[in-house]
Amino acid sequence: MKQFIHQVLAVVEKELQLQLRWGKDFLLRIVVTPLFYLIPYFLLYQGLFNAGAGGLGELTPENYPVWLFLGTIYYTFVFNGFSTFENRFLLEKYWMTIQALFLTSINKYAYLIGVTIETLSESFVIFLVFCILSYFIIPTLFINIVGITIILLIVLVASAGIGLLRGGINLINENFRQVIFFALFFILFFSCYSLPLSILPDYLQIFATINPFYHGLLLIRSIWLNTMDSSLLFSLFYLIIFTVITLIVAVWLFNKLLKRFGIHGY
Amino acid sequence: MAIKKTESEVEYAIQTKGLTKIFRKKIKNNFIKNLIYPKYRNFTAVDKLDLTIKKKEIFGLLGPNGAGKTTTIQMICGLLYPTAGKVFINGVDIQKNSGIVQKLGVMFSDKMLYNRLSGYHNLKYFAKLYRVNDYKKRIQELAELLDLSGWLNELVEHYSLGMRTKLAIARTLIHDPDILLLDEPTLGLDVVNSAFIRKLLRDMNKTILITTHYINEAEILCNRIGFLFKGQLYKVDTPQNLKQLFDVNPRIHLKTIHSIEEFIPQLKSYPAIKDINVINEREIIITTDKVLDLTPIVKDLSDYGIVSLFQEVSSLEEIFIHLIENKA
Repeated sequence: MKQFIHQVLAVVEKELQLQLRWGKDFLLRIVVTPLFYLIPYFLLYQGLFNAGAGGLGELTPENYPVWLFLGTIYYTFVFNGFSTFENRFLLEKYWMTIQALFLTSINKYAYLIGVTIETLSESFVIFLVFCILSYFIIPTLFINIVGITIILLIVLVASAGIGLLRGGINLINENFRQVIFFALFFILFFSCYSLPLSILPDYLQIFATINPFYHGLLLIRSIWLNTMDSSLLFSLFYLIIFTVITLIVAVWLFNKLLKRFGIHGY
Repeated sequence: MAIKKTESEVEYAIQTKGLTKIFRKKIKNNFIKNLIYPKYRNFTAVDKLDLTIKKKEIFGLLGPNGAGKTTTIQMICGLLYPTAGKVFINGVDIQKNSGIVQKLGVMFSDKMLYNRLSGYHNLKYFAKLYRVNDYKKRIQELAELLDLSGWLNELVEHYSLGMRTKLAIARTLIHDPDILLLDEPTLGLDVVNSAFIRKLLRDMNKTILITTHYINEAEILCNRIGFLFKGQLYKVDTPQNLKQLFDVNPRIHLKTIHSIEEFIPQLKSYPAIKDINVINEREIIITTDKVLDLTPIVKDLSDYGIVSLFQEVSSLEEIFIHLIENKA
């Protein structure tokens, strides 16, 4: 266990140092990028409600900023989880360091957790800023914020598991990069981080409700906006089971794929 | 019942049996055809390679570019899955126990270092991944051994090629592995750094598999040499034996006090003599088919007063070129 923790910490330290080599770019990226996704929707909903719209699904003139802030936090966590391994693996593939990493026989769970913790640091600034902003608009209990943080961590681990698989496939064959990107974009889009579920057509609502990432966001918004009911227990179990299965399958498949096909294209 | 040998009892540090790697290469076609129905051909990079390297032996794998040297190393260390065949490290099949690769220290020609980290952080990272207990002490030892102490806190992107190579070797040695796999470790280095690294490797008393196309380096450094060409291992032996066995044009230089012109017809009757080139009446160069025992010639020439008599054996480089030409 001690060795496992040492490996996790080594990965975190190394990843942070690599990011901070160009520190200003790193800070700008983690702060500015999420705003690109927030601002258009913010302006859209502000315009609608200023024009007299009473409500849009679960959105109201009072709660839409917090609803969007929470969506942006969620988007940042999931997007970073999906992308983190792809970005690292491709860089390390071109730097030729990926071979050295695999030769160490590092515990893949230690690597996954290490990278996930570093990714957390990238998402933390946005989390902090939007939590503070949301608190000023609609205050919530501290325990609720703790609950939201735990759910975000679960979601980050699930998305990082998928990200690990994405990164592994890209190590083998970069031809599928865009296909995987579009697939993950749709999964993220149908988590309803920017649009309320109720305004989607019925057939897309079905797609959204089977998407585990929708349930994660549903939980977070319900906790903050205090719209919790017993159906959320299902969402919680669904998310946890999905995360555990994703983690195990992703690590197993990643090892299998790499062993079978090796790294190509560097 | 066969008794399974422990790792320390096994004679060979590295053993490959029928190791083969076949890559699928896309046949170049026009872009649309490639997209719709790409065609492939098989390319055999390594072909049924049987290799045995004893413990503490320095083995040189020689071959021209594209011979399959790097692919062989990648399969031995488990980075590349072989199409067929097996690799044993200290008698353990690496496909059944991938953890055995921790016994290996591997360095490829591209160094595998994080340029955006300092030398110290590179070493610290790998020390922790390899679970080195007292990593600070180990880094200090290696820094002193490789003359890196003054540079450890600099970013690797500021290092010269020689410094990078030294740091890459330090990374390779960080967990004190029993076996080293070094792919072109002195590629692009100046003579001073090359000599430094060769001495270091010689003094290390570890099993080393080194690939190089610097023939002289292999000759100086290696206990045995294997010629790899188009994925096949052509010949394995000590550098001295290979010179004897494959000497393509052995030449005997003879200089005497008295004229030896009248002795030339007698010389021609010696077995294995191909040609005699007369430089002057007291100096000749004899070309032979193989390396000869010079004792009978010395005996017969005693009356002529030998000034010098030596047999010039081809360099390993000449043998290498000769072998490649013959194989090609």
